[in-house]
Amino acid sequence: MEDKEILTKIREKEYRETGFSLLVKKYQQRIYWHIRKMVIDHDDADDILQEVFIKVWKGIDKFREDSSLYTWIYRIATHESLNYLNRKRRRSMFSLDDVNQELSRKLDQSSHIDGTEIQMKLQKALLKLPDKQRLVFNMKYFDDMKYEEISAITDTSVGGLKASYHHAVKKIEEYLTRD
Amino acid sequence: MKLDDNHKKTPFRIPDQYFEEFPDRLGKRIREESGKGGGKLVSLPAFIKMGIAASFLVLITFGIFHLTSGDRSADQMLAKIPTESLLVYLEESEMSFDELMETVDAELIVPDGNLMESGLISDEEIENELIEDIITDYELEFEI
Repeated sequence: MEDKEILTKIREKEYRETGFSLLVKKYQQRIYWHIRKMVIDHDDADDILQEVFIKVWKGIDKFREDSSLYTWIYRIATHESLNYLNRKRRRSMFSLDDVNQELSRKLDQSSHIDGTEIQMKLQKALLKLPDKQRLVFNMKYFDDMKYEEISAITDTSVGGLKASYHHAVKKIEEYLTRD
Repeated sequence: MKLDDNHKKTPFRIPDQYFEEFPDRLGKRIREESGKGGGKLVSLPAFIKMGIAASFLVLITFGIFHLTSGDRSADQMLAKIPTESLLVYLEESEMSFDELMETVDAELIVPDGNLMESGLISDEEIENELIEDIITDYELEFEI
């Protein structure tokens, strides 16, 4: 179903919940995987996914359609994921490396993680990157998003994104070659 | 080693039926929150949110001043804030009281007493935390 039809349903009081259910079913997988790649752990990703859709539910009446529904939900998910990582750092008073080491440990120990050696190595290499660079890399490499789409979500210039992705790829290839 | 399309699979897995069950779990949580809060899913007007944010910014600023001047405890500082304001803030920010107290405790153990100069929390971070927690329109600047 098209976003326009979903939004129309949500805006009719009688069909609001049905419309919202359609929205959740349409976007839950893409948004979940976007979050999961940032926070690694399934339970954390599940919590954040719920928060994202609760914020969508609360804010949908204020959504002005300046951007597409897809971009708007992605933006919320991006902010929630980055906020989660920032809060984790601030509240635990961990340094950048400590939180990333914790995420790295989760890669080894959490349930619902089962990959080949190279898949695990790539994820560990990604955890060496700053959060925002990792985010851009995930959207470009894993999700095959266009720079223009990433730009709309992150409010960053296409040039800046290209540079960020280029640096990320270089660092990851160095890491994979070295270790 | 060059990255190519062969590396695009991730090691992440999900529990059985996760996506089939998620919409129902979410719907249940939204209904519970709506019932519990007597319409909690309806946001407060923007001017009230901004008022709460401003109040909390003032609280933090004065709190840090008092903490660094060594004549106030965290309990005394929090006692100065009307209970309703704290409850509204906690509800809006979804921060628990324990987490609020943890934040205050963290401030108390800053070596030279000056949280800003310690580099642990900058002006910008405090401001961002307030904005992130309270404003939900997600049209903020994002820098790489």
